[in-house]
Amino acid sequence: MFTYNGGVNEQTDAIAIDVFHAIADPTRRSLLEMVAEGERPVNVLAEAFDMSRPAVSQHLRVLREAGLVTERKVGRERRYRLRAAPLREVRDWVRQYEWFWKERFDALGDYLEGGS
Amino acid sequence: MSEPDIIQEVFYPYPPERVWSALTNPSAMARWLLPNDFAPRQGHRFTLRAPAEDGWPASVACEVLEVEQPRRLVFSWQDGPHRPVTRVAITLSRALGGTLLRLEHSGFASGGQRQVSRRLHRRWRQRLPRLFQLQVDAAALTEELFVYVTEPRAATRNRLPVVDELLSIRGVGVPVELLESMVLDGVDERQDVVDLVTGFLDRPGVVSLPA
Repeated sequence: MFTYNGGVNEQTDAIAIDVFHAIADPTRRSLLEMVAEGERPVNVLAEAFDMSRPAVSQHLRVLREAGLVTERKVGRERRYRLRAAPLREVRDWVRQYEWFWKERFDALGDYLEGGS
Repeated sequence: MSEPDIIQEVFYPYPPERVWSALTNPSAMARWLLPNDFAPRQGHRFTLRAPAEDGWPASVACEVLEVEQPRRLVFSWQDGPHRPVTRVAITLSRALGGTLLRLEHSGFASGGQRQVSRRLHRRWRQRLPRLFQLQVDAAALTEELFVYVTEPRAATRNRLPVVDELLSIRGVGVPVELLESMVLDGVDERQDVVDLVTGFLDRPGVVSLPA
């Protein structure tokens, strides 16, 4: 079988679904790409999108709650930067399933060969 | 539905009917997949029960979405109450001398992860040489990088002295983000990290202090 990094518990489950929800949206993925270039103030981020600033702020909030960005106040300005570690969970999870299915289909082959 | 996150193809030297039978018979399924209460009927909800092993979710909640004997089986797959519902599609096609099985497992949103990783990758390729022009102890930096890469948890990371030192130097860029991007680029083997760091330190013009 395979194991999850750090085991499975309620907390990591909750973190994971937030992360998946967050990166499933194209606007939020674009925001992540922008902050992947470096820290960006909210107005710079908002200008890049054809939507209201509150709408962009809402997307940033989803990303923040998923632990994918961090927010910092400088004067009256809010600045965002990427926190990439949760993305590793996504990658690890997919990799673990790659292994899982490979093993399972090997087992299916063994089963077929056994003729039982 | 976006493109599948996992695609695998396996050839079995048996006709599709036989593979289908092993694929969908609950007792056969228990042998190759997991103990289950599966039935090949659209809308049937079933549970895959995993042996109590470290880290593996106790059960996977599934629902049969499509059954087309002996060609196609699709079911949902949720490995924890707070996990996203993913989708497993298994398609059998007749091939010369047997059957080609194709698996598509989707719903992980890994496209988003890859998109951001590509951006990070590009960025650290540009910035890494600059990072290693800093006058820091190469061996210690390698060690810290390794610890960082294998333990990317904020609490641990913030106590790493070399990383702290890097962060305290002005005009460095953002080393912590660089390291995170290494994590995402899959530089997660010790030797890879050592090679990477050594490679940069060996470049002409790069200043490093004796260890």
